[in-house]
Amino acid sequence: MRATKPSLANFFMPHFRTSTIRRLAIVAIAAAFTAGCDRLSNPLLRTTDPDIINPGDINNPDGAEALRIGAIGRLTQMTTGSDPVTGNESVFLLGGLLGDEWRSGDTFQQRNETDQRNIDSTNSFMNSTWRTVGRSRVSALQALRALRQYKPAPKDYQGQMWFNIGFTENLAAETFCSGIPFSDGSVDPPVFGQPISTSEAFTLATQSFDSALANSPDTARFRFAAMIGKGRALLNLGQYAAAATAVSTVPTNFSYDVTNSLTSTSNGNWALNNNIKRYVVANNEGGNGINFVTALDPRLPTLSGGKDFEGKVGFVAQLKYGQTSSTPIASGIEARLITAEAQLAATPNDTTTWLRTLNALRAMVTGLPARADPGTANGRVDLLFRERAFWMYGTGHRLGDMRRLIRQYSRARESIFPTGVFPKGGNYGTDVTLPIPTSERTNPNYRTAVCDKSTA
Amino acid sequence: MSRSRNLFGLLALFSMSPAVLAAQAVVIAGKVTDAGTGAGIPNVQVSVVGTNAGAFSNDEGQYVIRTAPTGALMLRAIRIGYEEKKQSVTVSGGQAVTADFVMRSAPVNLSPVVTTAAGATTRREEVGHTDYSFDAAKAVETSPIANMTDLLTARAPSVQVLNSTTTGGGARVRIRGTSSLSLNNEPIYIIDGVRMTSNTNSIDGNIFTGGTAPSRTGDLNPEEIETIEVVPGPSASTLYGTNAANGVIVITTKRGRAGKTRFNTYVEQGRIKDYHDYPTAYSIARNDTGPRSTRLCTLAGVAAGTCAADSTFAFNLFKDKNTTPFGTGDRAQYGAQVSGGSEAVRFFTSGEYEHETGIHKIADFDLARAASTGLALPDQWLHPSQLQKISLRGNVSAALTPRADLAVQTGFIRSTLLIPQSDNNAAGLLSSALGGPGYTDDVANGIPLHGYRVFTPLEIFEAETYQYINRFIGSANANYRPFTWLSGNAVFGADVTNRNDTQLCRRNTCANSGTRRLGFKTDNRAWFYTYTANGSATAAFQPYEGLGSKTTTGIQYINSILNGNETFASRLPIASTTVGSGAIQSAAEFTTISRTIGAFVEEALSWQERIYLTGAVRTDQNSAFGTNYQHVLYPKVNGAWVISRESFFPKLSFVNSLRLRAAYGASGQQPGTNDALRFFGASTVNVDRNDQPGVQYVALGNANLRPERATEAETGLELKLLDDRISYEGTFYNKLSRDALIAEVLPGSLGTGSTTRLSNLGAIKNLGFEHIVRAIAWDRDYLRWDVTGTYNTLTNKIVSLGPIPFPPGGVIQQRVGRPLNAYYGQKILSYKDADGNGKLSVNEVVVDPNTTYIGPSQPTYEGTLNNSVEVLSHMLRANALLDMKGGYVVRNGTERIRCQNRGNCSGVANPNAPLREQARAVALINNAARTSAGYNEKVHFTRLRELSFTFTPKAEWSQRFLRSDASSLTLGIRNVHAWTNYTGIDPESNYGQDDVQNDFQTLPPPTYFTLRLNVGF
Repeated sequence: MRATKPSLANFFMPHFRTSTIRRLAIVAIAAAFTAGCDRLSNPLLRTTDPDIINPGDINNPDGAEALRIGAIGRLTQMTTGSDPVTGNESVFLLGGLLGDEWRSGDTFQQRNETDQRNIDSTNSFMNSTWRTVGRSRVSALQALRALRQYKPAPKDYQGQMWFNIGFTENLAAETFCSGIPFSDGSVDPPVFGQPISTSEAFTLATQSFDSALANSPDTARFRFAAMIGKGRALLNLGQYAAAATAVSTVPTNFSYDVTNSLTSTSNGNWALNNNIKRYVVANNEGGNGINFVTALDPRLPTLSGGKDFEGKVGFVAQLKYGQTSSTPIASGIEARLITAEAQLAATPNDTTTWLRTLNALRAMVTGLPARADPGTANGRVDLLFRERAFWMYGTGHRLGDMRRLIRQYSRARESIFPTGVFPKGGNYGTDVTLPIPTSERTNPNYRTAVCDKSTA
Repeated sequence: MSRSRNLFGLLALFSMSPAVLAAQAVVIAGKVTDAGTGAGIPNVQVSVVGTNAGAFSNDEGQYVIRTAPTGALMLRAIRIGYEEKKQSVTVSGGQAVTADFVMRSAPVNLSPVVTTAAGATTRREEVGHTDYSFDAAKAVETSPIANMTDLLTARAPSVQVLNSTTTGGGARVRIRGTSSLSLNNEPIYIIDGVRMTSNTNSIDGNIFTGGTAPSRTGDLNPEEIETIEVVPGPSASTLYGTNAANGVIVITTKRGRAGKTRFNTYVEQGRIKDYHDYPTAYSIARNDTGPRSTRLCTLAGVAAGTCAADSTFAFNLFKDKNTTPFGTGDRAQYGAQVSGGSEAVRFFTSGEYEHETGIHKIADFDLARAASTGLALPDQWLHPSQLQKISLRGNVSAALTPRADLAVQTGFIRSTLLIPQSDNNAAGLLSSALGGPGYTDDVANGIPLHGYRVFTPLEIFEAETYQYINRFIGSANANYRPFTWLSGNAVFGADVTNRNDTQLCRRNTCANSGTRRLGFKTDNRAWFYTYTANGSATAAFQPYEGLGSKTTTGIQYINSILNGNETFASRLPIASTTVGSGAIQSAAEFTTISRTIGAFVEEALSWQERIYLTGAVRTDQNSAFGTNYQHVLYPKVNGAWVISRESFFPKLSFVNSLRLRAAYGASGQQPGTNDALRFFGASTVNVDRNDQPGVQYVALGNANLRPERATEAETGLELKLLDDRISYEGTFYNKLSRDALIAEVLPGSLGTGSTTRLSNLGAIKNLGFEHIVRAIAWDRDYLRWDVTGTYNTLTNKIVSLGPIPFPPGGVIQQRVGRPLNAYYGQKILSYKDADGNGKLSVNEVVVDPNTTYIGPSQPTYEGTLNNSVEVLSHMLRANALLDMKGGYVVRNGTERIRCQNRGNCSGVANPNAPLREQARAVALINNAARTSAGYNEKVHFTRLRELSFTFTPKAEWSQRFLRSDASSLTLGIRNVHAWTNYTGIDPESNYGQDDVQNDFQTLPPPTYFTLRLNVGF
């Protein structure tokens, strides 16, 4: 045995050999090895994922432009987007399903209960559709900030983003229950929105459209779209004259479209109706619904035959939109319809002015004869809204109109929406709005909010 | 980096010092023989107690330890199936010592060693935590095992395996329950010391099958495996580091042994049949003039008088030879293994070809229709469920010097899997086969349906979905023993997998849904790389007499990369099958990277071979942690006490040994690669009819993200009785996952692309008992009867979900105080046929107005009972394995959709339906609650999982008739029969590997019959 050298270790642990100390030293060195390394600077741990774009890489003019394009994509997704598998369908489609534009030809309970007007607040399709609203508005806000900072010219792009914001706010208020939160998750820390009433949301939308008008000095297209958006929001507030004034200079042949292509997104109406047959064109749904099929109206050509997706009931396809068809979300026709409604509101017993406006539009379509005055105030309102329904089928207007009939024209809820026996079992419920889904409850300002789906 | 270089430099310098080279080392050699037969016993581990010196015996039982220290030494010999033996020897410098062992076979087969995280083995007796291991090689030879998951099923308590029911599908594996709400709950796999890619639901997201998906664990060939060890939880898996919280499955492939070259060949032939009863389709038509499909009644409607029935229909297409889509599948396996070598170099090499064809087939009426139109049917349509696999392995071990040896393991797998459209799939087989109207004369798209709902099997099977795998798993394991007290171990390895997923619908083929018949092709190619580098050093010494110390320190680096491309084209020209030929094309790429570096120190102490205490700590850094989080520490401590060796322990003749043990440890689960990051994504947007590139906001990010941390305490005992004829092992564990990574649901108004972000919010607890009893019920020359039973319980509970409210879900909900993924719903409180008409109307069914807890989605108790009987001088062995599970809820999604959407289930349209079936249909369809709670069934089942008969002729018979050294013939049956209260097709019907079982238009597990011949030379 070798002589033990004097050391501090030997003093405290005289029975341990020097080699033991050495062994423990190795252990200590190893233990210190990783604990002392800086994780972020360690090349062994550094990763680069090409799938993602870091925030710092888009703080430049090209980044601002890319965000603007992205925001337009979000608007398309909200209005006419579709994904029949994941359920990321548009607000236009789901609103039309709750209303009388579509009936469900599907096996998914989420769509069936929407059609039945008995939507569970946990319905996963509400989640995905509500998210398209948040994404559309927040992406436009995000692009707006980037455009201001990195690409201030042309200024009209800022106006375009304001249109997106206003359009989203208005559509959300037309579709979802009162108490709508508008948040912003693109800033750090995120800003959680307070629930605002339906009318407050329409007012907010008019302000956004005003900003769109103020920021679109050179592009008539953006200005006209903003005018129509403002007119639509004012109509929702019952300010008919102001709405008519807002749209007065919009040409009748104007159209502001969301567009689709084979390589980006397909038109949602085509995708869920013609392609996969989960949506079927409704006809007198629940007794009160408009006869969209049997009316044989040239503005909404349809084709009946075969079975729906579920394989049980007859299928009806719309022929208005193909896979890559554009969808007008603001049009001169809508402007004239706003004008007609304002004319009727101004003089409910007038038998000519408002009707002349409607018939001028009808004259644009071959085979669409002029309509006569229905003879009663209610009949005039019915005709006006029927015209709106056919002119703007599949453009996200119908549910808002049905709610306006209750809210602004004092119609009974069950005289407007489908009622009675639901064809897939049970009865129709009482919903007149889509619910804000329960996922929004994680918004600290929305935890105790009340969503009344049966109030227009 | 510089620190690691310093460490390795220090170790190298230390090991090469003159003192080391001058160390005195001697050779100890001997032979280990069987006490009963006198024959040499191969593969016995003979070691010098208190040192790292040791060796394995060769085929003749001979062993040589070349680096033994001098002095008075204790030698120990251990081997599975034999009782441990010890022997004292005294050796001096330069002297060669002979030490022979005579070992007695142990009544109960249990591996005497466990594999440590450092790659070495240690005696089972010395560890204080649970470790379940089993002899995979023997199981494969004598049981009907077709794949890896068959091998894992019902082998160890708390290892819950839910097999795929389709050829080539992957299984779900859970050990000691489900711990994470938002992360993967699968264990990790270590093969020959390196991390293995065990990707579940492993098929590209753009390929749609309806649910059936392989798991990369299934690539392994069970024939190549020697042993499998299950390291159940953090108390045992601490040193495996981040991601080991769900347990570790340690796989060791076969090795060569010194001795003559041995050839083992085997041939297996099998048949696959499905004996389940599938539900009949019913319908009731009302008296009307419209098409029959539009004038259907329900029983409730008839009862309420709102629908006047004029005719009823019933048809079970599965029982009709002309319409059934199921036939007899088959499987075959042909393999050869060669092993042998010298003391210096040993080798094992093997090759196998495997083929399996599932039970799916085109119905006879479809074949006739195809024949009438002259349509040629390729094999992939005729047999749409197929697997072909080739696996090759070459393992070499070399003793480079007396102090150093090197082992290299290489495995190559090539497979082709054809997956049928099935499960949760509108264009899948059972969606149409189970959804039919109950009559046969319906037509869709001009095609007679013969009882199917919308598509016939031929249309469905024309969709061709392939997965091609080329996979290499290789590792090199180097051991160096500079001193008898010090050894070093280094492992380097790579698992490289190329996965090619394709899906093809040729033009004018496939189910007529959407644009499918215009043709499409998807071709997605992914590469998985997992690189492992481990290094460790172990110092063993005895600071005091009777006190043994073993200090191990190690480092580990794991680099996992997944990248690939996705290509798609639609609108193919006629006869074309390539992406490039499609009119509309798209492409994408994806990358996922995860890197972990860790280090650990472990100190194991033993006191007079009675008391063992081990303490360790591991630290990890991972590329996915948030920027505000540096590293994580995982401690562990465990101890074992062989109390029966204490002098105060009463000398009871029937008690052979009693060992008490306790363990505590921590481990973790890492977040996903980008979970901590705030980022944007690219998208194509059509603006004014022009496609343009856009950028969209995706993820909020979480800079504080850290790993989910699981701690586990367990305690247990092991008792051997009656000359070791009976052994009992009991364990209680309590596992708590804190900082649970929960996918915090983001409010939609925030506008993020991601719907959730991972946050360390909650806590989840799993606790349970595990029991194993092994017994030799009878042991005579004419009869040996072995019984092994296991039973375990599991209580799973969400302790906390954090401060952010978790939005209530639907059928599956997460609530504090209840299990993860628990079933909730509005239950049916009562039902009564008050008017006595045999039909329940809506007012005769009472539904709870409140949503309440129904039950857990995971079994809360499980048990197995394995009986093995040998007769005719051990020549004939019969084995029966019973597998039992219960105390949980399975959603009978198949019947739910049949009732709710198809309207063809018994409860809706069978005039003779039991009231229970009617009640749940009425509650689902007619009651205002529209509750599906009646289809969430509390389940218990017992399945005769395996039944096998093995004939092993005497050696001389094998020689005479087969010119073989050893041979055996095994007849095996798998999934023989199940006894259950479940009203669905089978309580184990499942697709995918999700946490919650998916029985939704899903196949049940079929029955396998196999005949296997093993011949050795």
